[in-house]
Amino acid sequence: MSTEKNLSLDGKWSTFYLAGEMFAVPVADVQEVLMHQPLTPVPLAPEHIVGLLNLRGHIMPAIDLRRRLRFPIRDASASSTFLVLKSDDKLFSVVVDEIGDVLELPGSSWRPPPDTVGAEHVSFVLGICPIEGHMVIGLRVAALVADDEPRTGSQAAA
Amino acid sequence: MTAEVESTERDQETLDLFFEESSESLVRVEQLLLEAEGGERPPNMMATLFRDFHTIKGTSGFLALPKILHLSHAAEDLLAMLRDGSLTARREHFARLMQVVDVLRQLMANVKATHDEGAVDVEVLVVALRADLSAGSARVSVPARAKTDAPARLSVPVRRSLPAVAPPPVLVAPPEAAPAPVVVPAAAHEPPSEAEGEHARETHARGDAADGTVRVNVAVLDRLMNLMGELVLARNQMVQIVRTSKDTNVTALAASQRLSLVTSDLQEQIMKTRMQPVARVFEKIPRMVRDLCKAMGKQVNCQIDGNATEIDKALVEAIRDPLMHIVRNALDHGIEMPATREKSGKPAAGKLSVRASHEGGMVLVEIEDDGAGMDPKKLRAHAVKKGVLSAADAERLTDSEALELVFRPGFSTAAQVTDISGRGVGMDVVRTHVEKAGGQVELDSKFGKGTVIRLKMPLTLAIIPALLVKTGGQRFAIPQVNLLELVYLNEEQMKTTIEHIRGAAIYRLRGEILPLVRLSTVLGLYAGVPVQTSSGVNVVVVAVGSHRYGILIDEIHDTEEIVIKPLYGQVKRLSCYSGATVLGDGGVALILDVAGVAGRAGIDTSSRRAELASARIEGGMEPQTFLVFSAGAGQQCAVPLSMVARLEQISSSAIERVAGAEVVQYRKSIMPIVRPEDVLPIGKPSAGSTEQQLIVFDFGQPVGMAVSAIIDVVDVVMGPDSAVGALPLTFGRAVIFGKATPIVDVYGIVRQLVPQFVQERRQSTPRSRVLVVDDSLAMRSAITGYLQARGMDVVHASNGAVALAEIRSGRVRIDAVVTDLEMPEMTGYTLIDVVKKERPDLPIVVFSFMDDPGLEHAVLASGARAMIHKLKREDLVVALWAAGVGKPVNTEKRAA
Repeated sequence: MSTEKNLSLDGKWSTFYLAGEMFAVPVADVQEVLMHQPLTPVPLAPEHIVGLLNLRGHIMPAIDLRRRLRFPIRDASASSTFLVLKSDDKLFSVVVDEIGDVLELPGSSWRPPPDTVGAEHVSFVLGICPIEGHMVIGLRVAALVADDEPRTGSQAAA
Repeated sequence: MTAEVESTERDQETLDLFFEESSESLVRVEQLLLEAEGGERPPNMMATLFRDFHTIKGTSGFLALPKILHLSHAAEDLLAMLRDGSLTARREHFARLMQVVDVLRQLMANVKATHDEGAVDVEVLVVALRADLSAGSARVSVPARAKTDAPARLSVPVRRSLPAVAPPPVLVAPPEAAPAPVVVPAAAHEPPSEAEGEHARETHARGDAADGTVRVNVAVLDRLMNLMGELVLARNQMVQIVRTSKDTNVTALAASQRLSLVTSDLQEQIMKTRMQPVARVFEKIPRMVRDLCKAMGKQVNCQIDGNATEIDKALVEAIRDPLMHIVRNALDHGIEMPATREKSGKPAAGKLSVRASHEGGMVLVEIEDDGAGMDPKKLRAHAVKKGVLSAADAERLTDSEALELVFRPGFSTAAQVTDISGRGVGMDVVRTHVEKAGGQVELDSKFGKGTVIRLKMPLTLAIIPALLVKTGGQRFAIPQVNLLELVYLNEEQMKTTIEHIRGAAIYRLRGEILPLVRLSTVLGLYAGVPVQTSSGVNVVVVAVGSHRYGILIDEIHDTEEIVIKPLYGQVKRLSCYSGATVLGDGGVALILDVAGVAGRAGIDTSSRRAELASARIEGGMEPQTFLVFSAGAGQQCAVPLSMVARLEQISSSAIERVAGAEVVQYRKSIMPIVRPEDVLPIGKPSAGSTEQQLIVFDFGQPVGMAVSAIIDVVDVVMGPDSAVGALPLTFGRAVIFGKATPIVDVYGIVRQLVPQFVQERRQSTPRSRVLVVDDSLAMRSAITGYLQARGMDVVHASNGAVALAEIRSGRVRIDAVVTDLEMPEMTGYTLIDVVKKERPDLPIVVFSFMDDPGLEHAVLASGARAMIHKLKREDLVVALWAAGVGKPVNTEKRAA
């Protein structure tokens, strides 16, 4: 499923924050950044699908990355930002705490994910890149938005 | 081999063009050949066929496709001789050419798939064609001039037309009947002679159409459609913003209105670009029918209507396979062998009718055969055998539910798996395909009479009408195609109509039991929060195929044209939704998949169906009371009891003949007597007895009908009838005491047998004529009898379309319309709309079982005079009187 056309880590990265940690996705995968957006909840959807977002007539699922990565859940009052990502020609929006800078990260500075990354996260993490005392975690967009949960009995039967 | 080199040299684009062009011309060729086989041979037919093969030959030579070249060349040679008249056309020739068409198609398919013509052997066919040729030339000894490459330039003798004395159909025109050959320029340059005028014009029209069109990549159309969808949404938002804006700017308002109009027009036009006539699929049917008939030794007349009906391109594709499967089924399982048919009194040749029409924003495709029909008993037995149902459950199914069994996966009824259908793919696949494309399948079959299958398809995939509802504070859209009706139940009605069987809520709708589903519960919208109890509930009655159920929701909003946006990612697999849409205010609503909701709620399982079936009260309708009697040579007949005034037994000698009519002195007046056997084919009664049984009807004046015996008074529940096979002067047939019993149209008989009686009455009080529209035979005859007894003339129609045709025909004056709402083909709603446009003066009264103030309001707003509940028939007369129809001028004497 996650067929990445270009596994090269070399290039521009769009960074963002989740619970104080810094993450990054390739700039090429980011279509735009949005502030407060009304969401339409989808009953029965997996927990991390927080709703549908209408971007100029285009309806896309909104994925809360905190829930997706099993981070502590964000305060209801805390601000959030939507990152519109493109994967396999489809648009998805992911909810993050705060948007960061666009960084040029050379391929040579990336390291493979450390063994400490849990099994449930390993498919999401492309690599890590230390900069100025921080650690940037590079994420696989395709894995974030993929439909990876097994079908439940009732759904498959219908 | 050089094939590889050649294939790389072939320009893909040219190949594509060749395939497209050739497949079009092969369709044309096929049609002509079919017509020719049937004996229909327009004069320039051979020339047309010749040209088509000639073109294929030329292009295939150019594209280095040797087998196609070889074969089309041989076919061209044969046609050249047929065209020149040097060979007389025979059936075998057309059959041979038909084979050529098949092989050419196969070759082209191979090239398309593998860039190679494949291992198809064309030599056998070529040899056969050549044999035809030499046989022809040996007999007629005219040199074949076929092999020239530019035959169109040459003047050759062309047979213009057969003289009138020639036997028209099929085989060889005998040589002596052939006219002297008239020398006219060859095909391409022929001026259209009188005989050929029509055909030439047709060919011309095709040519013109081709000139006026541009081939557009479907991907571009898809993109246009998507953009259109977004434009519609932007327009909706814009209009809303302008409308709600505080400082109303007149210029902005005007601009937004214009934007709105232009967008609607644009939408319509863009939709049109995607529309294709269903002929694209239909044109394949005659050939298939012919081939199957040949293979099976059956005879079938195939009638195709509505070829020009247009539907979205994607949907044309979507109906192709289901349609072919249904047609195949009809020929394989439906229509019997000629001998069997004749034994059961049917003509040897079966009838298959395929129709397409537009109906209420949908396309209706009907496939009807007059074959053996389906036997509910056999279906039940088969289901038990296959382990689909237990014997007890199967017994509990009604006949129409038994018919539904064919849609179960793996259910195949063919006694033997034949080559033609069967093979385990059956109607379940048909239903899946059709529903996936947003359509519905309905099946109706009468054992021994035939089967009709209806496919209801949306016009387009992308924009559909839908009902917006709100539940749990969230809006959802329910596609119109699934909607049956909306019902509001107040607290009192909830108590009487909603019951619980083993924890499952059910709702009794006119005697039918519907499972009820609370949408908020199914979707888990009030997790932890108690369900708010309001004073009443809204029930949306929906259908999945012929399964119905009710969805309880909080609020019903508007019906809107919505643009379907697909769901993807992790929301796609939620079976409850088929998509999402953007509403006018920019908000998003999920589109409910009613089959998915039913599945999620756990209804529609077979055990539940059986349970419900056992709880069912007497079918789906109010029973009607009939007086059953025998007349003629013991034929059992019936009339609605509501029409009958009295039963009388008189002495036969009391009947007198006055001016050729029978009358009897009855309560101080002269009562005419009619005998149903005089106008109905029910045989003559045996020798008269001394007593005569009369049924007395009151049409303002009494009329007696002489019958042999009164049998009984029964309540009969009847579904919508098919007027097919109804005798004249009857309303159709009902099965009573196991016998097919005609329901007699008494007033019609009286009008026919004693016209002076009716005329007299007309003169004394001009009778109003009411058009009664109802799909139920029972209801129709009951209303008719009731209104006639109250001094009105009645004509009737079984649905809105029939009614509209009656009104438009102007055959008889119509003073008012009494119509039901839910009817097949055209609903009462549509009828009201159309009639209000065309005949605004014509009063319409809705007579329905629906009892919903909201609906009544809507119906009145659409132009109906009143909406009367079917149980309150007195109110119907009052409503008609109020509309100035049928009110008695003088006091009408009414018998007790």
